[in-house]
Amino acid sequence: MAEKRYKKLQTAAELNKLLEWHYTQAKYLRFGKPLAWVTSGAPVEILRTMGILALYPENYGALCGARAAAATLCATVESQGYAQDLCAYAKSSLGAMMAPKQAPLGGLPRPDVLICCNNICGTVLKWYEAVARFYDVPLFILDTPFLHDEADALPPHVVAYVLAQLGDLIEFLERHTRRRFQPAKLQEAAELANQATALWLEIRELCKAKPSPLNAPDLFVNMAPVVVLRGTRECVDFYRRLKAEVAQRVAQGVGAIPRERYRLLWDNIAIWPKLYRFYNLFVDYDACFVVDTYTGGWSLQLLGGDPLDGLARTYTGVFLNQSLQYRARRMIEMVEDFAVDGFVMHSNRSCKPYSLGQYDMKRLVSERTGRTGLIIEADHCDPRAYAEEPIKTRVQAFMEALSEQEKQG
Amino acid sequence: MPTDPWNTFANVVADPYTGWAARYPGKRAFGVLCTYAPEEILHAAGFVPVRLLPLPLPLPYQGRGDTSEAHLQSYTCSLARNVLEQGLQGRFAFLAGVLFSQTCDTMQGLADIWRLHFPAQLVVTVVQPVALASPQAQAYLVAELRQLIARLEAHFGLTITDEALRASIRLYNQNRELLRQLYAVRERLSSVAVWQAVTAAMLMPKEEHNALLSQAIGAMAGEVAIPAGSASPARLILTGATLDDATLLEVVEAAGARVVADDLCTGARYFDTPAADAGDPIAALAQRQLQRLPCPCKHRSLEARARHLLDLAARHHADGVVFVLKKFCEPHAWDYPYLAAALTKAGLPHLLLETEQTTPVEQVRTRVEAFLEMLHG
Repeated sequence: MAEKRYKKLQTAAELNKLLEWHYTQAKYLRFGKPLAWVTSGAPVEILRTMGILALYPENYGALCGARAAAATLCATVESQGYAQDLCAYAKSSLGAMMAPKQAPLGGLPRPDVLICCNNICGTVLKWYEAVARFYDVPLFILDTPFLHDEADALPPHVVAYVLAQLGDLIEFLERHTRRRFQPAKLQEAAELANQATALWLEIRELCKAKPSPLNAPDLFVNMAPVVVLRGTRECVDFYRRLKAEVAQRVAQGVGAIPRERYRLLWDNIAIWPKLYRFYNLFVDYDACFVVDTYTGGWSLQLLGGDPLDGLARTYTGVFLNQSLQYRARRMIEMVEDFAVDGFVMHSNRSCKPYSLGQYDMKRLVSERTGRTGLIIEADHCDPRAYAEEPIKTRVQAFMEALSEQEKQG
Repeated sequence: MPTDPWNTFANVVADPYTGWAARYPGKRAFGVLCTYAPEEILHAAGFVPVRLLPLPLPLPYQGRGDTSEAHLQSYTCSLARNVLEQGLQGRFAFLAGVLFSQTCDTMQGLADIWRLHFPAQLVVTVVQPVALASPQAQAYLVAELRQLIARLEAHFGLTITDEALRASIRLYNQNRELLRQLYAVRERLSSVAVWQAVTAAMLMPKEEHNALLSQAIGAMAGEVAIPAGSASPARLILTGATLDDATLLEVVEAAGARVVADDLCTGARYFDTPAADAGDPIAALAQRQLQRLPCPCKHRSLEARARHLLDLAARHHADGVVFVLKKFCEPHAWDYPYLAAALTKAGLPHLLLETEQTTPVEQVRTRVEAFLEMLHG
């Protein structure tokens, strides 16, 4: 490659260290702290106040995908009777439990408790049941009803339901970890979470600049701390430095890719096994993904007032727990706010709740914005679902269509 | 002319939706997509709940207009695809509305897609609680059901009284009791007829189904034709989501085996557990939902479904279990490895049959015959 298609961030080394510390601490430096495995949408702030460490099997699944370990781990699990169609994050995590020697980092350390919040999908229920059976550890299910209706406010009975379960969650954690919940500390954890999410939101907003200082792979790689370390000081410090670097790029007119000609929106989780390879297909056409529907999922601010009530509302209202109609509307807003020329939707075999409805959303967003959309069939973790040649052809046709549109002005 | 109940059930299941309104004059139908649908509420509102199923299967291809492929990915189950296809073909125009229950991620997505494409229908969703043993589930579900009632009342300008709800509960309990009686004698009946009877219960007015079913069961007090088979047929249990055609049942019986019990959406999971017909009817309906046999989209305990399957096998002296797994049905696919392991541990043989939009008969026959040979071996 004559020209580097990828401009590395200076904070990248720091990010790697931070994540390494996150995994190392849970494995080797626990000093007696209980360990929970939690879903990406679990209210981890509560665990922070109790000194309970949290690991994220979804983040670990992404790591397995990015490190090209998913195919082997999935095959291991499939040989035990799990269907090939099941989520490859889940299968990678189960595969790492069954065959830790084949797994990155030697697998995750055994959990003491499991916290499963279904605000992102129904798969996590089945996945965590399987983990609970495997390790014979207690499982708490936090049920956040899906919001089909586009109301301005959450239905009161839904908030009351989730809030009451948060009380049960605290009792569950106290019982199984012998740690006390400290309400006074919750405010502090919530504030730290808010600071990190505010910074992350500001970083994403900086991508409204032309050229955009970040591309989709930057967004995907740098979202990890706001998920796995939210509510910690280290997380806030990291985003403060990242924001400074990104702001500096903007001030100097430095873009994430060498020449930004097209600004794109990405929908769905990344194709982790082909992260750079895939997005570079677009860089070859001078196209940069300046915004996406996924990495902003963790930028919701906890609402004020009673911190538990704020947690209940925030975690129930996440992007993935809302209707197709809501998600289409958010995409339309993003197209306008970020001056997007076109959008690409990843039809992700591993993730039905995110992917079903995309065909209709594509039509709705195009109708409302006049922008062209492309749907790519792949998988967030399993490289076996990635067909390079057809994808290249589709990307080429899409970019040619955008170029035609540009000429016609 | 006296009606033969079995013929009626067979006809209803063979083509449930064509001419529905003409078959039941004066009745208004409301579509439902899950056994968790609170049918009594729809009934008390004056509707006949009608289950949307992939019937007939396969669907005659229209070759024109909008198709489900334009809305659902190829990795979606045949139930969702077939039902949407029928909707797009206009086969569900007789429905006043459609009620989705929170079951799986696919149904969740389908509910929103449905709302986009069928604006003439009231599309409502009851988001069921997932953790059935949670102390918070009952209060939430009651509030969710009350919200449903309020929406039906506002949209159709009607009032749903507690008295009407209790009457509907009694009617539905009667149906559950009759189906239980049917299952108690199912070994003397063809499995196809049993499947048709229970599936027809979801497709026709309850009053009529109750009358026909009690007539059928009453007539059975005497002699009953037992389908030809070996002297000691292998005794099988079916488990899975909906069974959408009779192929498997016909193959099982042709091979001389018998289905003695099931754990299916179009089977025992439809009619298990009555609701209390006194007191607050909404609380009673919610309580029934939480006490029912769980489907894999719900969580009661880690071992609840395995225990139920083993218990069912013990009570019915089953020789084997057949998993009927729809391709791309995630909840059931997730439970298969653990259920299979529990059966193996208990020494109960089992067979996994994966089904698609159309099930190749030969493939089913080969697999079932090999399984039965193994059982006899």
